[in-house]
Amino acid sequence: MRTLWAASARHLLRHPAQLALALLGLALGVATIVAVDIAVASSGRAFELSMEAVNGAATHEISAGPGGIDEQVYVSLLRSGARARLAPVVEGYVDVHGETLQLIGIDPLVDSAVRGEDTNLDNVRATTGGGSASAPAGAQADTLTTATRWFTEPGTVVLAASTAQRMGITQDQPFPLNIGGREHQARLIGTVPATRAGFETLILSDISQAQEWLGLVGRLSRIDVRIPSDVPEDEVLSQLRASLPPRVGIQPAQRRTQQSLDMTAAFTTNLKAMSLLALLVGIFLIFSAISFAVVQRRRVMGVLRALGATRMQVMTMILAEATVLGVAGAAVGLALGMAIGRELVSLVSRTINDLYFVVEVNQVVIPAFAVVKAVAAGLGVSLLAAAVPALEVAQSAPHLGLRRSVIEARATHASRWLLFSSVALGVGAGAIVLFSERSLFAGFVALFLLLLTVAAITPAVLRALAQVAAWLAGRFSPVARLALGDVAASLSRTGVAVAALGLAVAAMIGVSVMVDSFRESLRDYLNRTIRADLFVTAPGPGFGRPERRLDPQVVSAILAIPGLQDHTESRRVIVDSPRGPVPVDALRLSASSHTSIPLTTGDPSRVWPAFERGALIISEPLAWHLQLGAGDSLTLNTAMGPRDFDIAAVYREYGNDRGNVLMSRAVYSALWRDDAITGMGLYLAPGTPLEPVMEAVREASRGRQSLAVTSNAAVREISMRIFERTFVITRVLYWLTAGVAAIGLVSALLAWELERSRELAIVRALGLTPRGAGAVIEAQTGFMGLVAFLAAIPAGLLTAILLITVINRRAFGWLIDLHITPAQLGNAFAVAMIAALAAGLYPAWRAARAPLASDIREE
Amino acid sequence: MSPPRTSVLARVSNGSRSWGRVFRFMQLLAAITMTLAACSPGTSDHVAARTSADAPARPDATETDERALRADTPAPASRLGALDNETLPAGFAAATEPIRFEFPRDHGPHPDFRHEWWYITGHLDAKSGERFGFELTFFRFALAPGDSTAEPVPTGTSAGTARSNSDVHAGPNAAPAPVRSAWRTRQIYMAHFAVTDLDRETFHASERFARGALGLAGAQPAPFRVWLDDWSLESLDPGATSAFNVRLRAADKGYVFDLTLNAQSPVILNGDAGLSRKSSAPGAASYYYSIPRLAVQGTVKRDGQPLEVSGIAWLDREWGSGSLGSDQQGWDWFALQFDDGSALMFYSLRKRDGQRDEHSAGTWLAPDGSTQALSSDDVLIDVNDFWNSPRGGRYPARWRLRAPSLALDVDIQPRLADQELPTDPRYWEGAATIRGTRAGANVAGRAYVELVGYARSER
Repeated sequence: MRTLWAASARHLLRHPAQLALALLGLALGVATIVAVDIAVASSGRAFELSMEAVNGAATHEISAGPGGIDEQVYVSLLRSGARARLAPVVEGYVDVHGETLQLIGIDPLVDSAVRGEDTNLDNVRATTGGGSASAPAGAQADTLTTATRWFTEPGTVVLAASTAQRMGITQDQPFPLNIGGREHQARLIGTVPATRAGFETLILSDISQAQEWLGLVGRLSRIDVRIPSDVPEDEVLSQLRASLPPRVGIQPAQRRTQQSLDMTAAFTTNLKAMSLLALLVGIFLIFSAISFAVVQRRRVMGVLRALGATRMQVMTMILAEATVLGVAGAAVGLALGMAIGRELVSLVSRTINDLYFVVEVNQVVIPAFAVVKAVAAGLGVSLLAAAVPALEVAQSAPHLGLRRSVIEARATHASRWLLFSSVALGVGAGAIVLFSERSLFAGFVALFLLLLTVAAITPAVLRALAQVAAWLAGRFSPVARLALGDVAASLSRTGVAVAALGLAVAAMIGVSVMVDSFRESLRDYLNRTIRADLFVTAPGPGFGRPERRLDPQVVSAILAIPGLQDHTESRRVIVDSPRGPVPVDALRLSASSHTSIPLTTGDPSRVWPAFERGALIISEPLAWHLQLGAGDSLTLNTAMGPRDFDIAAVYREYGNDRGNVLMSRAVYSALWRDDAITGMGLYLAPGTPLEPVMEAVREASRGRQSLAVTSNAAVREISMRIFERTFVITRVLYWLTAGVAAIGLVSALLAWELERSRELAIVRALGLTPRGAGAVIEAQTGFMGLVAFLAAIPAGLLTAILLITVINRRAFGWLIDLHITPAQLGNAFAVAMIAALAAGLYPAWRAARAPLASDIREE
Repeated sequence: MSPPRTSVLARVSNGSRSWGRVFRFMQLLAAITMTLAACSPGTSDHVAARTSADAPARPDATETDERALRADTPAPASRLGALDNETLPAGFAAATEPIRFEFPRDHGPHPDFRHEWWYITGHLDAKSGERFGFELTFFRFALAPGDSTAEPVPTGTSAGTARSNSDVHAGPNAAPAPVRSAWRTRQIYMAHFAVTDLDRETFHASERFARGALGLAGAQPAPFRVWLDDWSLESLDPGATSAFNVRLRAADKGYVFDLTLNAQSPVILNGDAGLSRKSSAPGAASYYYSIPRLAVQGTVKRDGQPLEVSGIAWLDREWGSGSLGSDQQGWDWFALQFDDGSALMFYSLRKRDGQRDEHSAGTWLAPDGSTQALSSDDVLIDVNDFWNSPRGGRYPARWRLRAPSLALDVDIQPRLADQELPTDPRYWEGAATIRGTRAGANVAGRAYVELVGYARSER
């Protein structure tokens, strides 16, 4: 047995490149899996922490529509005698030094009763409570001063210590705060210690200050409720409900967190799909790396068996080796994954900030399940990859184990069997798509089956093509025939490597066709919908924030600008409905702007009159999510209570994957008692130059409000930029996948080349120049890259179709027009060839330099 | 309570019962704000930034003075010293000489003074035999002088407003003066409600805070009313006469109180015609009156079951702006109501060395309604028993009180040992019984005792 271990150790040590490749392959595979999970979990956790910081120990919250709740509701609730603690909150988004923070206005006198005391926040309380108890006596007086200033001084705020430091905001120094284009002065009077997580994106002020800054005087964003655990909850809830005005509701506090996280569900599902893809390619890589390491020693094992080692002993040795490799690779992979994860976090959080909500990820969360999953994948696949060839060698008669031909015969047989499996997989994928209807998960299952189809079909395709090519090439050059024939004959090596590359290239084609199709559809959509010459909006972060409103005086000044032919008005808010919050865009459209709404259903001549009478036009994503269409109705909670609205039509919209509702602004302002305007679209009279009008708009708002004044070209450009940013992470992941596949190819080729060194040496002895030997290897790898690419084309296109019509539809609800360009295939071709040729470089260099005599000599 | 905190309490609460209460209130406020925002303003940078030269000129004289003082004396101990010496904050009205009390006006708030309270303690007997002690207290505290409601909105940007800060530069897109939030105020209210349930031998206490805005909490003279959320004292006298005839409502922890209180004795002006001096420093005084006997009728709902009750209560009223002396640990306050219609109030201020401060004082109300001021020398108190709080601290728990000039010698015994309010800081305020002799005749009665400065944290 000792001899076995020695043989094992010596082999690994004598082939450090092989060992390194196997480890690298394993590590990359594991790393990709870990990295994506870390990025997703960290963003989610950061958001939960900030929600916790905002919600505290509140059990419920009372909320209404976008306009909030009348503050008198709070006063009357206090007198209702319900045994619940209540804390009013006024919140909104503000811009400080170009960064978005969430302004939370609270009443500290009642707030601790709701947010404090609960055991859930004990750590938070203890940190601060302990801080005060052990602080020098002077801190007490400081705290008192802070409290006094909080209440009596204008503009006083509290920030997280880390945020203040990062932004360079110091104690007592005034700093500008921009809300919806209006500038205010704030002054920092205290900081939240860094030990309290979740405060990084918050700016705390007194409720009075928040009301004044946000233009919400008289209103509350919500009322947080804590029902003590010793009180019957249902009784208190019904008591509270009885004191609430009709349209104001009370719901569990977690629901808002959940709703916000749900918004990103489609996005994170996509990320996870990418990580699964990485897992899949990673598994291939691990498999090929380890199985090559084993197969390569077929001869050693045959000798060992011939010398009397039992099957069990050989198996144990191989599996122990695989375990050591698997553990080492997984460990390196975990470390690497954490490093990549940290980078991915910023990409993921930026996308979330662009599209969903403000989140600041300061803490990288490493979810246990991700580690377990990655280690299991690394170790499990290593063992499997080692066990299959080891079992095969161990079970063979010792002398057969020495023969390559046996293995190749088996590989050829396997490739035929895989061909049939591939057909079954393809049929399975199709069946799943057809019968799963709306399930996103099933869509992904189908996607992976499809990709596996590529993997399964590739060895057979490779063999067939190599044989044909060898026959063709043999007419011109015997060396070429030899080289290509060898590819077909060494299917056990080449097959898996090409399959992995094919898989990566297919995924790449699929993703890039999808992204390009999406981009083109978005461009068409923007060209169609962004019609006004100028857009004027109250700037600020946060979709549908009520504080984003144009100053009425500014509006009338703008409308007085000469050269305006027409204008549209829009109020964007989020409205409550029995089916959750719904983004509403209340529009005052001019007749000429009707065409800018791309209706997908409904007869425009009927839709627009119905719209003006109060019917809704809903976006494709909303129609998909709520399973509604033209002719259905949707209930929205208006200021007058719930009300049913007819749906006149569905329109195409890529701006918001949660869905959007268009409504006549006249109808909206009557039903929600909200006259504010978030933005305007200005149509200029023909021949009016743009610049002077833009300047006039800025002049009209000067001293009142700083507005976002954007030309239609700029709006399109900004939209496209956000789109590109959203897909950065997709690109990063597929490059990672391509890298994993290339490494797999390198390790496969290296193993192959080492095995064939004798054959190549013979050919060289017969007159092949060193350069020629290198060329043979490059030709072989190039051919393999080509085959991987060819096999990937149909699969890649199918993948794209699946991504567009199934995955995107099911995840986001929108429809995308398929858009295929030669460039997409060209890129995939380039990637496949570059990866293959690069992978062949080192083996080719070795083949050219190898000493002939020692390679020819056998035994 | 940790040592540093104790010293803060001890140092600051030295003036008298009133100052201690004020400080307690301030501390509570500070603790709450601190916990909420988890503010950590106290760093050395912070102090350094507050040198007089750097300090932005703010219209708030109190704070500016305080900052200057504190900047000059960075060591925590001396900073406190500075606070201590700040006997009379600028901008607030001061209790310096006796005034003419007028009712109902003076039942109402005095917002020009920094702090003020309405204190009701009492004993109740239900027809069905249950017995209760209770405390309902409203505190008002002005964070800064001046009537905040009369001010223009401080935006920090709109030029011309009184409070716009000169060092805050208005940006090019300065907002126009927005509408003023109804939440803006400098008046903060706190209330404590405690019930001693003598049958069940349980004690329940809760505290609430609210700002004096939006009708959340407040006080008014005519018709008299002071309230916080749904806890209130409200005049039953629509004519708004001076008679103290009020309805008390408070509910928490399963107890719902709805009582009427009728004054059975005149208003007693404590100290020098209502001016109660707390130390020799000028301005370290308050206006202090009591109504020692209020007849109580009403209902107490306990866990939903209504009980008809009657009993006797005590009103304490005090307001002022002064700050602290220097070396006291806490105080013991006694409010005795004898069955013959007489009453005695006495507060004993304890110095750090355990001795009684010479500014301790009281008032005697004879059965015929006549009153007599009591100086520290007039009243002798011996402690006969102690009670250890499970939350930490050792309280006196039984007293012999003698007033030789009144020929009074009584034993005062708590009706329940644990009547400690678990507020921050904690204090003991509880129902007690009296037994003893006056002028040789047996006397009995009921009392409320307040003990402050005994709580210690368990380490």
